[in-house]
Formats: sequence, structure tokens, C-alpha cells
Amino acid sequence: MKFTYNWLKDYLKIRISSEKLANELTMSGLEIKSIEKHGSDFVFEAEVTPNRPDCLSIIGVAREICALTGEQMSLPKTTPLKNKKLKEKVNVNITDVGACSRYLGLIIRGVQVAESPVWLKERLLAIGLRPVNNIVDITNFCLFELGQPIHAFDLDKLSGGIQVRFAREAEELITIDGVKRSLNKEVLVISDRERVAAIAGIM
Amino acid sequence: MSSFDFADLQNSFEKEIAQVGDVFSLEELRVKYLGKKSLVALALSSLKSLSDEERPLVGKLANELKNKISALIENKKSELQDNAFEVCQLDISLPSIKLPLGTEHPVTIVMKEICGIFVKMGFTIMEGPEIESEDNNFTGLNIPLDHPSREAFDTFYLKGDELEAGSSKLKDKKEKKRLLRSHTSPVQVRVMKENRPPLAIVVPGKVYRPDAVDASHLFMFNQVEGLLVDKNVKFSDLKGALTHFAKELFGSEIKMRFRPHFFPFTEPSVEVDVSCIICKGKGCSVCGHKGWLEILGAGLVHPAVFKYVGYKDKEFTGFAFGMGVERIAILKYGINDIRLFFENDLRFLKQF
Repeated sequence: MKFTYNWLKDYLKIRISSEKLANELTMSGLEIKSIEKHGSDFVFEAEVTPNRPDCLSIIGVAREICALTGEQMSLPKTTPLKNKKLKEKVNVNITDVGACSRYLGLIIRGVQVAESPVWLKERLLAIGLRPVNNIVDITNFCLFELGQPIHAFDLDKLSGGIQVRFAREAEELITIDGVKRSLNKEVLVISDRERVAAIAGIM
Repeated sequence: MSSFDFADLQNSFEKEIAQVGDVFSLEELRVKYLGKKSLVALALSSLKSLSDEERPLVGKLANELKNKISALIENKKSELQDNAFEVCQLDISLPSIKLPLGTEHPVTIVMKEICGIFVKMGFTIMEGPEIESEDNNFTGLNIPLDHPSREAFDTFYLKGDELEAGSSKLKDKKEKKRLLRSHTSPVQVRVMKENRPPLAIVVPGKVYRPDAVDASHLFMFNQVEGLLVDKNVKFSDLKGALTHFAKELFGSEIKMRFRPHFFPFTEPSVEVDVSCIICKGKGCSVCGHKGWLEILGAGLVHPAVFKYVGYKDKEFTGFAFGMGVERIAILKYGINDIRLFFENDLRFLKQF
């Protein structure tokens, strides 16, 4: 799990050097495996143990540092969506609530797929991700910043809403990395009426 | 006339004695020419069958030959003995020829040393099978099939008679499957099932993990596990035992630190570092410029493990620890490639 010194500073004041910060985190249980200089920034690589999934996001690590240093944390500013924007609903159907307890969807119109701004691309590159376009980059950014996986679907290509279900035996999918995969009944997938779009929570 | 050509005999004898280099060959030669069945003896015994005129002649020649041969043999004998005496003029205070000796394998040396330290503290050495059940290797240690930490423990499963590497997630979920143990921790489960506390055991042995082989990884290596269970065992007891162990192994000047970590079978869990024995904490290539070397994983035994082996809730507490023997040997001896331990190269092994 990678994060950078400057990115952390978006959420709290850091008054100690990158080395000292790495040591504090290591001694608290989030072992910093390496620190690399990246321009004016420092990239930390941490080993997140299975009992600390809260540290799988930048905000999570920031929260941990606040606990260690006593600093105040400032979360990203958000504005609530106004009701009229939510008139159009996505049809979401979860077939097995035990496998997936909650799935949220939102329709956003007037989207232009384009190249991401430089600051966003640099943030992603620093933590080892490859920028693709503004939509994909935003979803990746949110995943790493907040620890919440999100995925963007092209509404034009979705027929009949989202279904969260188990795959059929030998059902096929070409995942976002370009690999063709043969699925089975134990794999939870996100699909529309016609085909599988993604392996739930993975890709 | 006699049928014995004495001149000829003498010639062949003189030729043969020149070839003699030791007292055994000399004795053989003496027997050949002067012994009971020798040519000279034959000549002498044939005298009685000769005529009165021939007898004194042949007799004289035979005796002459006999005397000559005897004299030459005596000469040769003293000559050989003189030489032998010269050869013995050795300096016996010189060191002897170095005989080839077998030595213990460095892994054996380190394993014995580690176990020895704990035995002196009162631990007992126990061993367990390398082919284990999934129950003992995972379930009993609080590692259920779907638990995310399973991912970290990719294992060699036995499929009929073949070995198969891979995560168990998409396979047959029967927990009775057999595998090559991925750590020595299953022996904790075995011992606790059969015995009541107080227990203090140390478990050396081979373990198997499907890792790609490189300078610091092998698919087969050795671990030493430790377990102590009793009433009121505290975390400070763990720290004390491990601190004593590390100082015995690496020297009393080393420093130690205990970092919070995670293992499914201990809570709380720690990783234990010692100050780098090469740079003494300043930072070098061996310790990755951190000044610390990780040597152990440890923690207090998880209640779920006690439950599995049948102890009553909160009846006992205990601590457990584990370490890689090859890793300790690498740190202790300054070896740069773990593969050397299994290549059976005598040039490497002879150095211990």
C-alpha cells in the first residue's frame, strides 16, 4: 500500500520529517517497508496487516497518524447532492444479500471523457497507478483516498440496470486488464441484463 | 656332467637381487634359491646319485654357490636395514596428516544452538510430521478457509500422490485435506490436544511454501517454534524469554524492539527486531539501512486456539514464537544466498 507525504498533508498537519513519520508508523504496527523521494514528495510503501484494513486508504493512514501525533484531522470537503438530481434512479438488484449487503448506484449525465488534470495524474503515478482517463482516474483516486471501491459504467452500454449475482458455470468475462476469464458459480459478479461487467469488488 | 648350470644360476640370482627393495622380497628370494625346494637344495640332494669322480666337483660348485648367495643376501639385508633406519629419521614432532572429518551442516548447528538456549530455560524439544492436515495447519490456528490471511499462506496440497501448489479458495473446501505444513505451528495444536499445561516446548523442523526460489527464498526451509502455556502467562514473560534468547544468540550488547504485527493465532502479535549485528544500528546493506534485523514473530496465544484444543475459556494463557533457521544462520554467518544451504557444495559446507 503506497501513499505520499504531501498527500497526507491534505488531511492533517505533519510536523515531523518523513523518516520520523515512517518510524512512528512502523512502531505502531504499520510497517513502512521503504521511503522513496519522488520530486518534492516522498512515497511510503507500507505493509498493511490483515487486521488493519482501515489503513488501506490515505484517509485511514491519516487517521492513524492523528491518533499517534494528536493532530486534528480534516476530511475532504463534500456537498450533499440535491434531491432533484436524484430523480433518475438506477435499477439495482442484489440476488444474495449474504454475499453483498449493499450496492449503491447513481446516474451522472453530461460527462465528457477526457484526460485527467496534471495534479490528479501525478498523485496516481506517485502511488504506482497508471492514469487512463478522467473517469477511471477519479474512481481510482476515490478508492485510494477513501478506501471505498467504486466503478464507473457507461450507461449507454448497460441494458436494464445492475444485477449483483453469482456467475454461471463457465460464464466468460474480459476484465479491465484485458484478460479473458472463465468464471464459476462461486464468483460474485456485477452484470446487466445481458452480460457480466465486472467481478464484484475486484475488477 | 651335472645338469645344473651354476654360472647361469648365479647370474639370474644376481639380476634378481638387484631388483629387491625390501626385506619381504629379499626373504622370498632367499626361499627361492636356498629354501628346501630351491634349485641349490636340489643340486645338493642330487649329489648322492652322482659318480665318485663327479661328486666332489659338483659338490664344491654347489656349496660355493650356496655360500655366495647367502653372503649376497646378508649384504642386501644389512643394506636394507640401514636404509630403513635412515628413513626413520623423521621429526615426529611434526603435525600428522590431516584426516578428512565430517562436520555438521550450518543449519544443524544453528538449530541446535537455538533449541539449546530454550532447553536451558526449561523448554522441551518436540517434533511433528511434515505432512499435516488442513485442520492442524490452518483451522486449529484460527485461520478459516475464507479468512483473508489465508491468501498469505499459499500451500502445497497433496492430491492423491501428487503435490499441488495453490490457494485453497477455489478448491474442494474439505478441511481434512492433507498438505505439506507451511509452518511448525501445527505442532502447538498437536501437543496441546494431547497434554495439559504447564507446557513449554520448542519445535524445530522443515516447512514448505510455494515461493519462487531466489537469494532469500526457498520452497523448503527450517523453522523453530516455541510455545509456553500456563496460568497467568503475561506479555512481559514473552518479552523476557525472547530478550534472553536474542542476547544469548547474538551477544549481550544487541538492542531489541517489539513491533505490533498480526498473526491469526496470536493476539497481541509482534515482530521482533535486533539491532543489526553488522553495522550495530547505523544502517547498512544487510539491514536495508534500517539498523534493525527482523528475527522472530511472536505473540500471546489466541483464545480461539485454546478453544480448538479443548481448554476451558480463560483457564490458561500462553505465548508462542517462531523463527526461520536459515535466516538466523544467514545473519550469524554472513551468508549472502540462502540457496547455498541446499546445494550440497562441500566447499561451502566444509567451512563450518
